[in-house]
Amino acid sequence: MQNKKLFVVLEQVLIISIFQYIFCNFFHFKITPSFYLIYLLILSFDGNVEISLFLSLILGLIQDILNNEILGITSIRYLLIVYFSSFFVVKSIRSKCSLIFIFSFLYFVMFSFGEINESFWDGKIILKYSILFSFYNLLIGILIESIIREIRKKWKEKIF
Amino acid sequence: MLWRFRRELIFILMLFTSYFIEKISFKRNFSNSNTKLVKENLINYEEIIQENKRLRELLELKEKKIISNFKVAEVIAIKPHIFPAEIFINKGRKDGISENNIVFTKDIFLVGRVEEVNESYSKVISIFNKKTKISVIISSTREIGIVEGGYAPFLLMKYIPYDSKVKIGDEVYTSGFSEYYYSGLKIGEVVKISKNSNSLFLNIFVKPYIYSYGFKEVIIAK
Repeated sequence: MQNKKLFVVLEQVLIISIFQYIFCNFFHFKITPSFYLIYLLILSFDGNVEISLFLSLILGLIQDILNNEILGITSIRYLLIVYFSSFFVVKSIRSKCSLIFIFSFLYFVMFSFGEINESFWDGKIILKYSILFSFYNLLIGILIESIIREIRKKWKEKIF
Repeated sequence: MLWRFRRELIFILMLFTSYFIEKISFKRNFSNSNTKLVKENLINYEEIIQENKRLRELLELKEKKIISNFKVAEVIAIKPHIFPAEIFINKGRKDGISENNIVFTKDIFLVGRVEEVNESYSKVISIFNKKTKISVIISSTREIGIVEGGYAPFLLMKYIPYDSKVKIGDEVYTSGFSEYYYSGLKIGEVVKISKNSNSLFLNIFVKPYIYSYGFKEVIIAK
């Protein structure tokens, strides 16, 4: 059973990574939604907090490697958001999407304000982009939620 | 008891791991970027020092009143890349450049003359260009001949009599008997003298001083 769960998570991570890669490289939006963040939030809302926390570290490192950033910085961000989101266990897509919107907003605002002094960002711009980021994440969240469900369903039907 | 706080424990453990990785990665990145920055700065400083030196030498020309009415231009393109026949400079009509202005280096080595003038850039035909024909004088014998381009890396000097006393190493200057070039501009030195039995004149090859000149800035005189 445990092995089955591991395979489910691995497949989900793989598909999410492919989506993230395609989105980052072939679609040019002003701001790129974070597929990993949405996936981690959904996992956490489903009650898989331990897996979600562990994956925050791994996916954060992958994200940093892909973006050529300092390793570990995104992991810390993911971990903080996932930890706070783990207090909410919800089942319906509507509640999950609203929470994805709120936590994406918080994620963007929290970590953009830290960089204000170093860059040209100001409050209004951060607000504008954090709303845009959260909105994109909300839309992507619906897609990811359905993908996760499909994968789970597929693995449930398999007999070892 | 501990099992109840597994979420917090995993969170703290993961957070510490991330923090630890971040610290190591930051240190490595910082030292790498520092080394890169130092290297880039050193290269930039060297370039600035060299430019400063060249500009000082140009300024000396004006201060010593060697040439009074001139403009300094930067070379933006050369064609071909070696022994250029055409040189493009970043000064044009709006900078007061006009056709047939003479172009030379800070050491008064003749480069060529302005052929085309545009609003903000100009085209110079160099002495390597086959269109070039300049009246020149040999320093030792004071004989006057014509130097022609199109024989890169050298120039061909014509119409020097068969019995001339010209020798290898003699300097060649502009004679001043020209529509465009005034006298005394250094062109090069004689490197090869060949005698043609069917001709009354010698074929003299001149190695121009701009032979190995790194084109950065040039002087345009009126």
